[in-house]
Amino acid sequence: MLLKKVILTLLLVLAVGANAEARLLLLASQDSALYRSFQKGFEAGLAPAGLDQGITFTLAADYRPAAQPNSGNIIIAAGVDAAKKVASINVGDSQVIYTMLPQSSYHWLRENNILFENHQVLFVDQPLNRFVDLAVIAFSPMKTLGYLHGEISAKHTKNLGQATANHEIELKDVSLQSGRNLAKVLNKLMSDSDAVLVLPDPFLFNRRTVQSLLLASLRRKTPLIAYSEPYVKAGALLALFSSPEQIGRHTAELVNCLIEFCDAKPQENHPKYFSVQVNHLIARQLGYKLASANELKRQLELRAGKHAD
Amino acid sequence: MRSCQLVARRMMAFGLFCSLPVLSGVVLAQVEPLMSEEVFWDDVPMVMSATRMSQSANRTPMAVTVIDRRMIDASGAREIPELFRLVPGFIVGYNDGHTPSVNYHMSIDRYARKMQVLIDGRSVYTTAYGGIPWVTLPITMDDIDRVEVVRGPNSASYGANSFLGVINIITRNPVLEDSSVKINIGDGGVREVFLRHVGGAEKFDYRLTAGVVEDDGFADRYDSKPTKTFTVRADYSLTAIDTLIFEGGLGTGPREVQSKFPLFPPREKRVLNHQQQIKWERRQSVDESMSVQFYHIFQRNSEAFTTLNFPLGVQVGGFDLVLDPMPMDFSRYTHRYELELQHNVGLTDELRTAWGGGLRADEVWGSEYLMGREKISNYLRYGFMNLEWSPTKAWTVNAGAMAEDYSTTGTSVSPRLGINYQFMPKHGVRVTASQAVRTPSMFEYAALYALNGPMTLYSGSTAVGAAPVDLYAEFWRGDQDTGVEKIISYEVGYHGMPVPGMFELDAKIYFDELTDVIDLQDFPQPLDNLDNETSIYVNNDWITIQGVELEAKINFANDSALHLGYAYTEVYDKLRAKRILKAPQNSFNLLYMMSFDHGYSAGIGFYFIDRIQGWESSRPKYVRDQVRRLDLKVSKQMALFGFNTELSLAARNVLGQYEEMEILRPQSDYSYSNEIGASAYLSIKVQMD
Repeated sequence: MLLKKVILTLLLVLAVGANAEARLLLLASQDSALYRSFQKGFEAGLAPAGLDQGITFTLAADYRPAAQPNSGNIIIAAGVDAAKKVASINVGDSQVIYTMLPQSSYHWLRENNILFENHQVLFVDQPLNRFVDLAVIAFSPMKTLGYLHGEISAKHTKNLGQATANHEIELKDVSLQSGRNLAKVLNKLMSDSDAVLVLPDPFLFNRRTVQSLLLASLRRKTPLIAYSEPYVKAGALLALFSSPEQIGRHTAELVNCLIEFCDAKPQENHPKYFSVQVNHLIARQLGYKLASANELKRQLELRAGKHAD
Repeated sequence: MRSCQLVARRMMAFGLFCSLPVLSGVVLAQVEPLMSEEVFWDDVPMVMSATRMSQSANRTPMAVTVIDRRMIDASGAREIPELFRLVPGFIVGYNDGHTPSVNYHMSIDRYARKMQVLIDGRSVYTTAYGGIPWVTLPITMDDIDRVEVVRGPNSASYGANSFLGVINIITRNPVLEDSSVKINIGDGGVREVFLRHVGGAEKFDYRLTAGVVEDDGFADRYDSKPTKTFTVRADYSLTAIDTLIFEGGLGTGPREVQSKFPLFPPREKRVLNHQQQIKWERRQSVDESMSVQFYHIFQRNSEAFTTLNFPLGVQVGGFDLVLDPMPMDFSRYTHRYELELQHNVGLTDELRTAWGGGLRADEVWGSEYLMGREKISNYLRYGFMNLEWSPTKAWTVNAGAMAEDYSTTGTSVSPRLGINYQFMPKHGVRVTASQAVRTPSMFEYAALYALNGPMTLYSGSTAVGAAPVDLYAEFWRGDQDTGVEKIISYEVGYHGMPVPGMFELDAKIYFDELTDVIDLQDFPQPLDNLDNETSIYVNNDWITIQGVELEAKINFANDSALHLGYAYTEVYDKLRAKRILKAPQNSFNLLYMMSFDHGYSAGIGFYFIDRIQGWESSRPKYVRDQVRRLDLKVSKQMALFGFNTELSLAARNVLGQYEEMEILRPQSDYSYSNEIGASAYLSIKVQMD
């Protein structure tokens, strides 16, 4: 409890120009290292005009209605808990930016009318075409992309199919549910695919299934593309992800845009800033010669530029 | 809809969602399929060792410390036993340079008989004397993926001798490694070379490790330990769902030995330890797996020598009685064979089980001076079942038991019941009661440690004739009726993440009652013509241990991390109605791990151990003063001639000297001590493509 207080005090001390009149309210789901990193990126990305508005940082759980903002403010809800908290606030005509939200959680919250109507959202998920682009850059020529999913990640199948179709890549999607033969499914998928993609699904990927997945990838010499850095440390060949700091920076840019009345931005946004991680030891084991992570990232950014053009 | 319900139920099982707020007067009655944003960055901590099932730390019935690769690397530890200074309540000591001992809650002597140690599920506890032959274990520091330490009795999962705790060393999978060369050079004659080669084909992966280890031991001791080790691990994928894993290893080398007893000269003994294990694993589905393993362990200690002339301090007819030099043999060997089957299966979404059974045979032979040249066999049949039931996301019940039938000590059942309750997300409490047993080592069961030899009468330094009788002195004996020790343990614990992703805390308060504890008791022995007494192993003692333990892990935003451990321990001798210093009242450990730009990393380890009674058996007991130890390590990763290279410098015990656990009275005749001073070693590791 003491540590929690110290961290909260630190957050408040760090807050630029925190005061009762602040027009920016940032509700964080947790007071953790993850959110500190988010805050660091947010502060770094905020334009002077944003800083002048004054910011109040607070933990969603500790937010009291007495401190609710006046009309015309901007509320940034970071994370699932903060998004739920905003639903209990009378925000008036404030604008709300939901950030650090998994795409699947966002859709559920929206379908259940938990989200404020006038909002923008920044997902933690990478756009699916970015994953496909990475696969194409790293493993070209590529014909088949395997996709192993559980009940949550199954929702991405349709959009992933569209993204792969754009590159004339066949998507082999396999659902792995309780009771299904894990090793057989994995080995079949690995044999049938040039690379396999995994997206977050906590009900599917526990330590045991992750270990089986990594081993199947190594034994079948089929590279694994994952959504997080720990996967690469554990033995996946590639990971594509955004750090909390990168998401914080992008969030700040959405705020800047609202303050400075720039061109309208889409309601739903994927992270603009991202990182690529390569496990070169695994690359050697699988017999791949990959460019460096920075080079892969540069090529992805180039492709993103072309898409934008 | 069914799918939706299934999702919801599993979400409850994983505890991934938070309680629902009341939203604008609308109560959301349905379960929300929300995935937390943390999933994108989390490395979910899971442990296997508490119940033989993969569980998150807040669902285990016992406190579990995980020593991961980062901690191993940052600690500066050169030998595996040193790692356990990082575990709250653990006591690491050395009898000499090649006999380390790792104990939990109480430390009596060099033989840590109350701990179970497993390497990939294979028990390496030696049944001859008890304890672990740490130095000749065929495993190197770099073979280790992580170490899980169950702090508390765990016979329900791993059987007898999982008495005060269990150390489970989990080795790296060869497919995730690189070939490498590592060299350590340092003070105290540290000269070590490790060669590792990994390779494989489509369905086959292997690792070969060869090591040559050498140091001079303690500065004032005759205790060097040049050791050669060789290990192999090969994984072969038989079918899509079946894997065959072979592990083998050998550790051997001479040992310099210096006894406290002046009858025995400084000498050399040879030790040999080799192990083979084959394991078949079948993973039928996400919720079901099965394994069958068979292993053999051979441990031999060859120690034959000739004693010195030894004046007994007794006069017969005005002449001094001197024991003549005589051949002596402390050799012994053991074979262990074990076959085990384990089946893990999810019975329903809320109920999982790990059950199985096995057969084990131990054969121990001891020379005539240890066990009367007798071969003792001990056969075991056992069965176990552990159940994890999570009726709601907040509650987890772990119930399990192990039934064992030993040919020497009979049948015993070791049950355990633990209840975990998460009173809020990421904060849980546990209440656990468990019972465990320890079987006697074969030495405690059937020892006959005696001297039998001719004596000569001396006048000054001149021999005047043979003594009328030979000496027969019987020191220790086991009458093959030594039974099992028993423990009943109660633990109330908290495991939580007050600051998720940054601060993890485990706290426990416990009470252990040990009964039928094996101890030596003096009995008359008319055949003994030295003092007419012998000491016999009997189940006599009654001990209670109680205390508090805290463990914290803090991850900082700058990628540094802090691991903290604290233990408060009280040990009572209930028979003699007094508190005994078999454990430090307070002990504390700290490991600060740092990462910097340009491939630099560093570790700072600090350890405090309160006063504790040393192992010296002479009376009066000698108590070691408080110890403060500081270890530092700096590493640099770089590319050298195209190879990934790590250069490290570890400075150990920089605060100065202290005595390790074998403590000798200053006024005694023994001229040596186990004083350990500051030292350093340099390490270079080159990874090959």
